[in-house]
Amino acid sequence: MVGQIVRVINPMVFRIDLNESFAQLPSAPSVEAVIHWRARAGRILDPDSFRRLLIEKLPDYPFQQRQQEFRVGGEFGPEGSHVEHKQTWQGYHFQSSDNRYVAQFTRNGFVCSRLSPYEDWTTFEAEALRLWTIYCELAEPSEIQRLGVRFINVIPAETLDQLPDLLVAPPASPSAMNLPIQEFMHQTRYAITDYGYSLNVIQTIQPPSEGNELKLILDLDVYTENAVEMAESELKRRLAEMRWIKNKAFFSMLTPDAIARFRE
Amino acid sequence: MATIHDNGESQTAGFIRHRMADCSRQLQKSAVFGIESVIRGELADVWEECSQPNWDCYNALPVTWDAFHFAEQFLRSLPLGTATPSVGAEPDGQITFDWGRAPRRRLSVSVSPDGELHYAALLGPGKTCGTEPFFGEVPRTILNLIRQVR
Repeated sequence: MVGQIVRVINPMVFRIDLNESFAQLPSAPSVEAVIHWRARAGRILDPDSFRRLLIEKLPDYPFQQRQQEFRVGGEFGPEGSHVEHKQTWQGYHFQSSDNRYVAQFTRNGFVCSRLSPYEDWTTFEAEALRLWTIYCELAEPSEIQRLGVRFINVIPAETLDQLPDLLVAPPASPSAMNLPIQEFMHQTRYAITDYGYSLNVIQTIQPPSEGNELKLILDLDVYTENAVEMAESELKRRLAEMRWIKNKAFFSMLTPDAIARFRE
Repeated sequence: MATIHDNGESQTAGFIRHRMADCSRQLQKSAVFGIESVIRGELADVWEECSQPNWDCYNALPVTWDAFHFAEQFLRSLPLGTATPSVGAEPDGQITFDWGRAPRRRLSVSVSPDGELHYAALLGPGKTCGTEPFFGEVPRTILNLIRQVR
């Protein structure tokens, strides 16, 4: 008689559950939160008038900088050489008076960044949507080609040996070699196909420098490249889903011990 | 190594951007993944031969810096391991990348000086064409076509 083992495979289905709540972390390690709209301007933007209108509408963002793309190239030959420089206007970079918010208004879209200390999602989302509305008024994009929510987290670590205490899936040396890890850079892109999202995760370390300690970086970028409707209700629905995915990833990729550090 | 979106403002975002670029450059130097050899070889040749007006003796427009720049960025943003294209120029000054060896399985992507990607493909009995903006990442439509013709 031949025995037969039947394995019933019941794959876990990834479902977004907006009713699931996540612990509030008073010392959350986020150094930057980003909402990125890729939405090409629907009209030709004149750099000077665009800047003037942005200044009028953003009195609370007193620091401005022109964003240029700088290209350089050279040719070398028997008849001599020449170097060519070219600068192309891309948009403007505005910074709030407290330096906590950065808004990039460009020909290809709008990016809102909140630098540390991170406050809370409600405040961040409201500010990003307010600035996005201004971008829409001035640039008249016809479609959102990409929408993304990115959180960059930095977690201090004393040594690389501590990584298994912090990460659920830390880098490891093959057991046959058992070598110490000196550096690592790990990127994984997950497909959330049922919802049309992707999750890009980067885990790496920033070596200590000038008295600073070693830092573990966990960069979570949730985005969709499917066209998103411009209506605010649809945007809010998408942002809520992306935020949930980001939270789920954060709490799934860090160990309970690591998360406990941020509760204090 | 996938492209990371260049949207962060913090020092940490800058650190990640540089690390990703270093890793990508390291792999692109290899013979297997090496898009670098296409950039230094065929693309550089196109620039050298086609950046003056009338380069084809039939009043062709020159390949401009903008078209060259976007073409270079396009090549660098191809996922590692993508089949390398052959490179050429068109009389309107656009740079073209061609994939596919079979007569009815071919893809041609033209990079314009304003960062648009115009593509046309023969896929057996079918054909498709269109235009996609280039934002630093190869659009999914074009990646799918590359996979179908190689």
